[in-house]
Amino acid sequence: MSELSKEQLLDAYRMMRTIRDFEVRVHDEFAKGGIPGFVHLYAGQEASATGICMHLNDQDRIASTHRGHGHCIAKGVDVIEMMAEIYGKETGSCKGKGGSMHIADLDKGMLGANGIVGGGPPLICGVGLTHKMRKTDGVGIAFFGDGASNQGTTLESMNLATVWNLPCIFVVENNGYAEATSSEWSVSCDNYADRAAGFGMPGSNCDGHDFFAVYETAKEAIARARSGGGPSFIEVKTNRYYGHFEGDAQTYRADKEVEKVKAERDCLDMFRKKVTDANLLEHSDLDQIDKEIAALIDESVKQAEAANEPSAENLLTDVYVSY
Amino acid sequence: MQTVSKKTSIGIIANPYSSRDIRRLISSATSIQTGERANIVERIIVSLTTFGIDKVYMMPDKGGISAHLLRNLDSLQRLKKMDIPEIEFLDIPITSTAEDSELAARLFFEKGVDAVLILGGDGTHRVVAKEIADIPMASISTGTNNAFPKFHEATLIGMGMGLYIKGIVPAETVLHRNKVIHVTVNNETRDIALVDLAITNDQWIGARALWNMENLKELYLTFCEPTAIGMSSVGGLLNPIPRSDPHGLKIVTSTPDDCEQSVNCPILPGLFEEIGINSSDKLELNTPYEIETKQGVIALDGEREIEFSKNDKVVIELKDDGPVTIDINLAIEIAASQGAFIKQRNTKKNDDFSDVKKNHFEKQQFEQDESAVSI
Repeated sequence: MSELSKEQLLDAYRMMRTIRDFEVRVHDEFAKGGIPGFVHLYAGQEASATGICMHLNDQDRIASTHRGHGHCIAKGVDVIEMMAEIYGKETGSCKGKGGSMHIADLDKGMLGANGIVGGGPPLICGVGLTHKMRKTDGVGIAFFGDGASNQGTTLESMNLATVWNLPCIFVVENNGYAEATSSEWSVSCDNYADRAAGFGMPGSNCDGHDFFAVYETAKEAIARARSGGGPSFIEVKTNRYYGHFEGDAQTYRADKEVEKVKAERDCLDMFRKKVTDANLLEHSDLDQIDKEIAALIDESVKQAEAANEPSAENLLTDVYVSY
Repeated sequence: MQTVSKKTSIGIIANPYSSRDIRRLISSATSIQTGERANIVERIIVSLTTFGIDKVYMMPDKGGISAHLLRNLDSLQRLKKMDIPEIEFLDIPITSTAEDSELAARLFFEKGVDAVLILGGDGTHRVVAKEIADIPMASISTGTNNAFPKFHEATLIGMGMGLYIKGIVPAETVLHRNKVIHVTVNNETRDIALVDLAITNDQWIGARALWNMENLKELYLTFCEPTAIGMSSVGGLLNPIPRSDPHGLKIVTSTPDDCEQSVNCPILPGLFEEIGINSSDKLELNTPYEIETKQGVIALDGEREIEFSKNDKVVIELKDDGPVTIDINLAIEIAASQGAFIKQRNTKKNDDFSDVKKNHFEKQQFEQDESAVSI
């Protein structure tokens, strides 16, 4: 349906591969004790951030979550700087003072990962209002999880965006669990399209394991917002491969649940199969990207480990940022 | 004709996930909320109650329909006062995919229910039709295009089903066999289409729904009505073919500028597209057709389902072995014309419909619809 050039297909794969390798490496390094603080990993959900952010430019802004590495990479934040930030080093995206849950890069339109569950949607209303008042065709995308979908901030933002007809897209990445609580037990409507309809905005769901399904759905929602059609809602049905945070024993998950998804619905495997079966890309094209990304992630860890921590005299600089 | 003393049962498949896809974004298409779907099931049950149906099997779901229904059955005094059928939720694993409908339909078949009721769109009907063989189905449109199910209020559908199941109207008159298109890829049976099979030169299935007509190449239709929404509207506005005709329609399409004829069609609720017509021919029954497009995607009843490459041989065939449906309008019309709904207040009867049945069998039966495909 959506015709993507070879270059775009390669970009999509590169983005998803970068997110996957980044997260797997953070998982490994965290287990070794090299990373301070908490990390929440995005592995398994790569098609969501990629399928949506491929439609965006630097004037479009996204708000992310505590599970924000994938959104950062998909929005173009530098991977070397991200890894340094997670290591708490002064060469990091936020000079090592934010860490995993506060990576931001305003130049790229990345308003930040966010430790406050449900903290992103209100920010995106601000983005939407800005674009509307300045008469640009920019959009704001709020990524949030099924847990945050129940927060008042999210619901109030959906109301405000509809009332003001803002160019905002609300993307719930429904990975099935709010920390350890299944969404089946905690979300009143099991179809988010129902909840969106209650606010008067269209809602659609899509398979978050299939890059092409996310890409097509996002394309329509974003085009609608850019042309003044107002807000919309997308439910991306997805799975996370790791726990809520690193160290989570995941006793709440079914036996072999993750293994089954990895074997049958992995977004990278599905992408590779589709594009090679259709003779759009060669396996060798993708293998080459795999090698390049592996080297990039190695380099990011190497540089992060070698970099200095922020100095004591800079403790109070950059703490408050004027937008 | 069925005996009236037999224990009667129906199976209900209420799909909580139909009408949730990208078409909400593209054309503001219908989105029936979960609560309303549960209300529809409740109205059906009330209607079946008036006919003394003994048992209802329900497909369970995690989409809110079962939960909503259970809550109402447990709490509403109005329902508690009625002698509603026994309701049993199937004990099956819930995957929240089409597999649930498929498994539930198979179990309904094994249990030998008298009829199956489907709340869903064309896609749900296709999944169920493959599993229930000749068990009659009735439909409530809760999908997007709904070209296959005819629109009726749930209460009336319950009435039509009750009239058929209780033998108040003759099965041979109110049941209709539907045509269906079978698709094979490399001689392997892959799927069916109840209304439309579209061939596009898309590269992947993506968001499944079919709306971008630039890539449309071929259309194969079991029937096409002028009042349809969806791919069959192309045929419906070009050359209508009733459900009962013993053939379908094949259309080869192209961009409008390359054709002598084009048709502006409602291919989605709220979305018209101009379709260029290269050719339009009768689709013969029981005749295999090899498709002309070399690489692309097969969309069944409006949803992209099968990707094929230039190495694949795709063959479609129209057959008259599709699902059996209950003609709700006809059932109620026959019953009403026979006085089926009139109570004789001066006589005390245990069975409200016993007089009607007697009347019915004594009177001349309605003429069979000769144009219908026979069962």
